[in-house]
Amino acid sequence: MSIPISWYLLVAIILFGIGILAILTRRNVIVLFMGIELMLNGCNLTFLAFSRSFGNSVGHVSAFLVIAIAAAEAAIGLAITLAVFRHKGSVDVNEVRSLRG
Amino acid sequence: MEKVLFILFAGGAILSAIAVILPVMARTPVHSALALVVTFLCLAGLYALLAAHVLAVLQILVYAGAIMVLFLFVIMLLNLGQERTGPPKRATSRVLTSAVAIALVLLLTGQIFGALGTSVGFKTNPAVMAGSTGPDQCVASCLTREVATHPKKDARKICQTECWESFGSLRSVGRTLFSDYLVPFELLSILLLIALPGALILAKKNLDLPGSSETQLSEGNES
Repeated sequence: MSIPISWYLLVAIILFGIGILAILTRRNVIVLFMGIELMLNGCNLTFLAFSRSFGNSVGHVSAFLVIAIAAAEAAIGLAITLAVFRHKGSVDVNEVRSLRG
Repeated sequence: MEKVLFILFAGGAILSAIAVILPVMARTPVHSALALVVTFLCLAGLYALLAAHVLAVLQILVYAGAIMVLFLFVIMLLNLGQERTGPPKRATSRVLTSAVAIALVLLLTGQIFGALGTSVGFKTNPAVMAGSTGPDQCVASCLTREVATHPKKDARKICQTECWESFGSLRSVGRTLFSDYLVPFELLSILLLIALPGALILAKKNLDLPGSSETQLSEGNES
């Protein structure tokens, strides 16, 4: 293994940070979902890097589960976005304040 | 060679991830989505470098294929050309949110590399790396087979190379998934089964929520 695991971890942390930045700065719901996907991918990269380092394929199983859950989350979240857009005519998260948030 | 590929994929993933979120580079959500596809493809390359071949293929199939098609489909269904958002945020709030994000990243870096036993240097803790002699379970099961035909020292060497070569293959991942992690796998199938009609019902044209039919009628018809 010529590339140390910490390089992969650093890439994963940077991806996670970019995801957080997307969620904190953008207001378009769809871009927020993309930020969540970036964070999930950063987590997956961490799982796989440690899995490689320990020589154990449990990390692969975790990453598999994360990918499947991300698919379900994207489907439900985008359906909610569609419903909100029909209701409000906008995908700006600041417009959605029916719960007084 | 491996290093060149790593730098290529990691740089591509980070740069395109930045392109996803920067409003300057991605003026419409479609641009963000296309940059996100590049990120996922680069990440699939990184997974392949980590010998996770199955996950690399799944990443391309599920993320770059299915999920991104879903994203683009919704973007085009909503007809979001230019972002119709309100007035731009004040500079102070932008700086504040960026500072919070950077602080979180630094915290994560400190925690993870602290747990590895080093500072942010690129060395790895020998105590952590000592566990990486090979896939232990695989070696153990292989040894019981090979000891019969080979001397013990040779058998261990054969098994270690064999297990490292099969690491991340469909066989080894599938064996773990369908033996020790069968219950989470089945629960996941139930989750997907629930998510499918859930998404269909939520995206239906006339969403009748119980108790909110009046507001639905008055506000829903305007938009």
